[in-house]
Amino acid sequence: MRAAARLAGRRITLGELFADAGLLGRALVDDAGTTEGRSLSKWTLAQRRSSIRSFADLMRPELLTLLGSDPRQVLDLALRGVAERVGTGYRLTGGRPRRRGGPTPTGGEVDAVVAEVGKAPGFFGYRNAAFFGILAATGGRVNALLQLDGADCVLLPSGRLRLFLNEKGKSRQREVELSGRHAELLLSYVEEYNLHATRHHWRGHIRIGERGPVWRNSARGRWPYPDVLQTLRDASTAAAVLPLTPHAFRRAFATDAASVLPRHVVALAGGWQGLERLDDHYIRPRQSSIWGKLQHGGPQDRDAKVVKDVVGDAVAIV
Amino acid sequence: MSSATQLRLFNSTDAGSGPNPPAITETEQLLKEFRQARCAARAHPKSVRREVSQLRSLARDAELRDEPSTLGALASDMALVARLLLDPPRPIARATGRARLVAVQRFVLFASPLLGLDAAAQLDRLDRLLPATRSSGWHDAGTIVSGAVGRRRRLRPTLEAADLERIVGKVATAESGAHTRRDTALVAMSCFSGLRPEEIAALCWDQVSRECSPGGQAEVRILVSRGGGQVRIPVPPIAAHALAGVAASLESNLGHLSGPVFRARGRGGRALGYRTVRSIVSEACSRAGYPGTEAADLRSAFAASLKAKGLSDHEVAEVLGLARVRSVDRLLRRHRELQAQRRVREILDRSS
Repeated sequence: MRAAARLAGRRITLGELFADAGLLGRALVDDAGTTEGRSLSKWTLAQRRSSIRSFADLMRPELLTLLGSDPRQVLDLALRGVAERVGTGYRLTGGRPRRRGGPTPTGGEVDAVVAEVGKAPGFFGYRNAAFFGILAATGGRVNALLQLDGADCVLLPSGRLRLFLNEKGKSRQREVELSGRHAELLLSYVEEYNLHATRHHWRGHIRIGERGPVWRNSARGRWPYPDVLQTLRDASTAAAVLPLTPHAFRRAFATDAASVLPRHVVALAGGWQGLERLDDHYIRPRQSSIWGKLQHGGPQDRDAKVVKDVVGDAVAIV
Repeated sequence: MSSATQLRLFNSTDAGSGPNPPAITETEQLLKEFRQARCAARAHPKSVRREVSQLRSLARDAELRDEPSTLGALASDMALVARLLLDPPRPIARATGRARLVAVQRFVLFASPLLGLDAAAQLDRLDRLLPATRSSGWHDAGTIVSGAVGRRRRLRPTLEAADLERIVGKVATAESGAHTRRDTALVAMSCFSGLRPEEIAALCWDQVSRECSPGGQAEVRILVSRGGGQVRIPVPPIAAHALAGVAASLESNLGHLSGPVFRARGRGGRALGYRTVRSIVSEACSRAGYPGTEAADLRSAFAASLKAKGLSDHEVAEVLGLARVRSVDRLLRRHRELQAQRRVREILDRSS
C-alpha cells in the first residue's frame, strides 16, 4: 500500500488499487526499500505477490461486485503488464537477487563445535551430538533433518540405519545412510530421551519406524529451530570459533569432499541436482588444502609433467 | 458411433441409477466406441488408455457413492461429474485428478452430441462448478485442476544384492508346505531375473529354453513379449536353479514340460494370478524384514547386483530386457547416491 501511495502520489485504498491494474502491477514489482539506497529482495516481492493473491481469493465476492470482473484475473493482468515476456511465459525483473554463501568452517572447527554441543547434560548432549554429527557427516539441510519423523527412519536387517529426508523444492525424499558411529549416536539419543521421558512421566516417546518427531526438546513436540541456532551459537563461543550457522556444515561437507573426490560424486552424495549451485555457492577451496597438495606433489605434479612433455623444457612450471 | 450404441446410451440415462449388469455392458460398449473415436483422431494409444482407465475409475466412484454410474449419466450430469472430481472417495494424486478432468472433458466432447446436448455449454458448466485454481502460477496459461489432494508414496529403503539373497533365503523357512519350491522359484525369479510380476505370473514352460553357450556352459533363457516384439532374457544361475527345482518337483527337466510354470493350488493346472504372485513376493520380503517392498525395488536391487558383478550399463539393460539404457540409470539412481555417500564418508573419516 505504501508503494502504491508513493507511486500514485496520494493515499490509496485496496479497492482503488485493484481498479487500476497498471498501478497494481507497478506496486507489486516496486523494490524500493524504506531505507534510502536499499532495494527489496526478490523473496520479499514474492511474499508481497503471495499476500495480495490471498487477499484477492479471500475478498473475491466483494471485489467482484466492486470491480465487475474477477480480481484474480485483474491481478494476473497487472502482473503480466509489468513482466517481461519470455518464450511462452512471463518473468518479473524487480528485486535484489538473494545472497548465498558464507564462511566455511574447517574440519577442525566443525569437530570442535560438535564436541562442544555434546557436552550438554542429560539427553540434550546425546541429541546435540547426534544431530550436529549427522548434519556435518551427511551435508544435509538443517530443516530437512529437523523435520525428521520416526517413520522416516528405517533400520534394515543388515543393521544399517537409513533416513529419508525431505529435499528442498522436491516432492521426493532423499535417502541417507548413516555410518555405524552416527547410527549409534542416534540410537543412544533415542534411548536416553525415552529413559528421561519415562522418569519424568512424559507421554511422547521416540520410536524408530513409527510416527512422531525425532528431535525433541521436551514433551511438547519438535526441537524448535531458534533453539538449534542458539545451541550452535553457544557451542561456537565455547569452542572459540566464529559463530556458525547450521548451513555452514553443508558448505564444509561440500568443500572437504570436493577437495578429494570428483564434483559429480559430491553432488550425488549431498543431494545437489546438477553442479552449478554446488560450484558457485558451496565449494570454497581452502588455501591449506591447495598448499598441501602443491608441496606434496599429487595431481598438480602430474599435470606439470604433461605440460612439460607437450611443449618441451623451455616452459617454466609455476 | 453406431445407432445401437446411441440407443443404449439414451436408454441407460433414462434408466437412472443402480449398478446392474446391462449398465456395465453399456459402459464398456461406450468406452470401446470412445476409444475407437480417439484412436481415429490420432490420439496417442497411451493417452487413450489412460483416459479410458480414468473414466472407468469415475464410474466406479459413482457406484461407490450410490450415484448413477453409467457413462451416459456422467456425460449429461455435470454436477455429478464435478462432485466426483472434487471429492474422490479415495485419496488420489493431483496428477490423477487432472487426468480425470481431461478424460471427462474429452468424453463430454464425444458423447454430448449423441445426447442432444451442446458440448461447449456442458464444458462451460463443468468449468463453473470446479474451483478456479490454476495448475501453476500466473505466468502460465495452466488448466483448471480439480481439487484432488496430493498423495506421496512413502519411500522404501534401497535394497542390495545381500538383501535379495536374504529375501530368497527366507522363503524356504516359510510354512508353505508343498509349495515351498514353487514359492522359492517365484521369489528367486522376482529377485534375480529381469521379468516383471505379470510376466512371471503368465510364464509357461514353452518360454523357457536351455541353450549351450559358446563356452560350453548351459544357459537358461526366457522368451517374453515386450513392446510388440520378442525379447530373450538370460536367467542368472540362482534363478535358473530355482526353476530347475520346480521342474524336478514335477519329475521332469527344463525343456520337456508345458503349461504354466507357477501353478495355483488344485488339479486344474491353472496359472497363479498376478495378485497372488505379488502377495507371495510381498510376504517373503516382509518376512525378511523389508516390509512394503515392491517389484520395482527388487528390479533395481538386481540391476545394482549386476553392476557390482562388473556388467556395463548396456549389459545390464540386456539382462533386464530393457529397450533403453536410460532406464538402467533410473533404476540405479538411488544406488549411485548411496555409493557416493559411502565414498564421501570414507574419505572424510580417513582425513579426520
